[in-house]
Amino acid sequence: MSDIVLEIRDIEKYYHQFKALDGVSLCLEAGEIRVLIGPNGAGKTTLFSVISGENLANEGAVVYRGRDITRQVSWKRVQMGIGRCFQVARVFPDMSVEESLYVALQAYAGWQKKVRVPRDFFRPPRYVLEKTGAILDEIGLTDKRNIYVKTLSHGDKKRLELAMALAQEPDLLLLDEPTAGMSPEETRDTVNLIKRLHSNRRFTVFLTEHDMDVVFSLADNISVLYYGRLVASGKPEEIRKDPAVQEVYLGKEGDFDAFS
Amino acid sequence: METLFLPLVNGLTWAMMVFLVASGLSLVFGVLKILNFAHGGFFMLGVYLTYTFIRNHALSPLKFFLIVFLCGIILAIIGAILERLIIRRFYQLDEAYMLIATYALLLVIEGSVEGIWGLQFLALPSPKGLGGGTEIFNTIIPSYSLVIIAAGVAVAVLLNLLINRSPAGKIIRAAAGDPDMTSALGINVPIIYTMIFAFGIFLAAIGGGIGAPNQAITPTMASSFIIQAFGVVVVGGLGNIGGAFLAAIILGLVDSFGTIYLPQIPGIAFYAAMALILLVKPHGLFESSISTK
Amino acid sequence: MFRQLITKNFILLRLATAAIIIVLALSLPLWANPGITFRASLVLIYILFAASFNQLFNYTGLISFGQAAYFATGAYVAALYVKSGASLSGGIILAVIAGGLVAAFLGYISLRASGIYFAILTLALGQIVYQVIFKWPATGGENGLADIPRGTINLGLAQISLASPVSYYYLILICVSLGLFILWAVTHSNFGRILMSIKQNHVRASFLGINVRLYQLISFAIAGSIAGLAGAVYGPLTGVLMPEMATWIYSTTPILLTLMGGANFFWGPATGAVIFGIFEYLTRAMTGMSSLIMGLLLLTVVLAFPGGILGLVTSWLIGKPSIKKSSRNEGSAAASKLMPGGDVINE
Ligand SMILES: Nc1ncnc2c1ncn2[C@@H]1O[C@H](COP(=O)(O)OP(=O)(O)O)[C@@H](O)[C@H]1O
Ligand SMILES: [Mg+2]
Repeated sequence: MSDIVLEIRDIEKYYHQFKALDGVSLCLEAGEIRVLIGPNGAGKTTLFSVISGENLANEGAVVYRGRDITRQVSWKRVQMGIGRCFQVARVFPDMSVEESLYVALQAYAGWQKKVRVPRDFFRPPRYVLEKTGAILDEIGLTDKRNIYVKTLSHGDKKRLELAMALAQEPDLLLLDEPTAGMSPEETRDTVNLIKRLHSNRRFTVFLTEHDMDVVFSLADNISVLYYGRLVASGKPEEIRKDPAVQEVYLGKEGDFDAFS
Repeated sequence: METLFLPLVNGLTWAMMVFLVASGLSLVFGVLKILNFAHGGFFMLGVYLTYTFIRNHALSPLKFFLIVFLCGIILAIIGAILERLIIRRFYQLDEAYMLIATYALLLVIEGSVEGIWGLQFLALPSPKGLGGGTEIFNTIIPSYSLVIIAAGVAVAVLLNLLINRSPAGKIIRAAAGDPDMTSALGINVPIIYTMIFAFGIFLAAIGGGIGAPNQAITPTMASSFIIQAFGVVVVGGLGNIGGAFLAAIILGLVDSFGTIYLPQIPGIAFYAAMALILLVKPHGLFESSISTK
Repeated sequence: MFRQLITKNFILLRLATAAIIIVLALSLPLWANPGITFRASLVLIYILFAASFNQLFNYTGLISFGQAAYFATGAYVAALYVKSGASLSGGIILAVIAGGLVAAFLGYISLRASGIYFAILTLALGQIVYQVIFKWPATGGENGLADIPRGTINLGLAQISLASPVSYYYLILICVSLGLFILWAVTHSNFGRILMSIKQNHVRASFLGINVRLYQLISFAIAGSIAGLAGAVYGPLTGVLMPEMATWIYSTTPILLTLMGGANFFWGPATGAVIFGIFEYLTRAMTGMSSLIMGLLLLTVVLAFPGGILGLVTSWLIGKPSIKKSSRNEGSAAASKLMPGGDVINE
């Protein structure tokens, strides 16, 4: 029995009258890569929002490392170790790649009390400067260090966002469609990057994905969300065979790609 | 009883005056997503234009309201032209720049009114038979207050019917909800925008005309009305006309009773109530969209 | 040719400009007549007032329609203090504190909302400040305050009289320089970089563990205290304060100056204030047309030159537009619609 990083219980989330999540419960074990699959509009992003605090659940509980964070504000959840990347990368368009990381690390260093005023008033503290280089190397953006974020390619923006999330030393990383809109080549790189980061940092990864090759190459476990309901959770092989899953959305074609 | 009745009437009169401005403001925001400072300017133009036609003649109510209606039409046409020439350029602006641009337009209107009609106070007589007082519950209240309250309620009811019960309302709600979708359905969204803007101006202008006899007419009235209308629209939930109606009543009553019970600080009750409401409900009391009705 | 020369020596050009401006500012009372010295003093105050607005607008991504309330708070606090016979230096310090405290309090309320709601709240709360000044006997109510003395400034060793326009000009110059330096330091610091990140994408900022609202509040309070500083030296300059200076109408002065000069530049508000000061001086004969002219100017700037004067100058020097017309930022309050890919941005 390994330890539980995140437990969500009977989550219900409404947008006005519309029920986007309907009694979702699941547990993430420390160190696993869990992939959440489901058709567009299933509520995957909504579930991530509820976990990360962008939206609050109407019912149910979110428990992170034994602490109830259901109503916690998002920035505190980040400080507790929950990092998040968005389906459409959210970045600072008018900053350079380097500056974006300064901000990310400064935020981290700030609340970790690693900043000494006034020496560090104008220049990023040494910790930030060193760590910026390290993370850029790790993520492979070193050669784009001084480029304006708004001129980056779509894929690079997603990588930058991931780099910024890494600056927070997350313990649980939520990745919403990390390969969406990427070329096959970029997708392969991203998959390798996630594998590498996961094996180096040993954090828990919770991600959504449409590309079934990616899903099966990354997942330790898979959960299936179908219009607000969690219909199955388990090992990839089990999910592949699960009649309920096939019933709901492999449908007539019997092919996972049918819904993506 | 009497001590409560007069402030009640005063509060409601104020509320309906402001609602006449706020209704168009809210409608325009709901569809065009523009919070229009200049709306107060058109309210004021409605006042001045009506004044120009009537001067110091005490007309029959029918003639008076016909002139008000006419002024509304004239200004609506001017508003439509303005939307085509200038306002249209605001749509792609950043929110902050949009606010500033409409404020600039208000300044232009204020400056023009100063230039044309001068700085002095003007006054417009009430229509014949509506100038005096009426006795209700042993209290003499200005008859014209009742006219304004009736006008406010009528506008609220008609707007509600127009938006929620008419074919035009369907299009308005669609355009408010998702302009791209609406234009994909073959509806000419730019023309809808022009019409909504002009209609909003029409509401502001007839509001001004109807309210004119009740008001000291000066070039600064635009800014004082627009800020109160903003308060009402924001408290009611941006884009929600029914919300604005209720907010106007709430704030109007708070203000008039506040002035009675706290005479040392008249005028503060409105802002304090508004701040308090927004402190508790930062995005207004009610659902804030026409489309999600 | 000329342009290339300038582009190559950009830093030199900036240094030269700075040197000329410093010399002009320092020597102005020596060659200008008292009327111009007075106007220059006013321009200096407006520079600081507008810069305090831009600290919020460009460097934090907040639009305040209530900046005049903090300016007036500072002005009244300092004026009442010197009228009670105390020295102006104490009045200035109190004004800075008062401006900051009032801004912190009202900013806390306004920051519960975002976007347009925030703007309207700053406006409404500023009006409360105006109403208080207008109704409160201690502030002179609707009659305002008159005969505000300049008094002396206490330097410990010596008391310097500020009665002459020239010595008072220098006091303003010192205060304004100090205020600008503080704003410059804030906006160019690590703290300022975080404020900038909040402006560019507040959702991302909060998902970096940044307490967005706290940072915004601190920035708001700083801007308020700097506006208070500008207000503090205003009263003794003109000798009179009227409650109307707290209204939202006056809050648009710094907006106009900032946009005219170029909101994207630290020295934009200053440029706007100087140009507007000169413009006002040249058109001083035309009274009564001011709101029409202000409105037309503002409209022209917003629609045709959103980068302001400095934006025009830089694009001329560097040869490319320095600001995009629509600076809608990702994650800004306006973008609450469906984003491509079905991702929904929530406030
Ligand atoms: N802010 C919102 N307001 C209203 N409806 C929303 C909002 N966000 C998401 N939805 C709806 O909730 C459902 C789930 O959306 P989402 O979580 O984005 O799904 P997924 O990420 O699985 O594609 C969709 O039907 C979507 O339209
Ligand atoms: Mg999604």
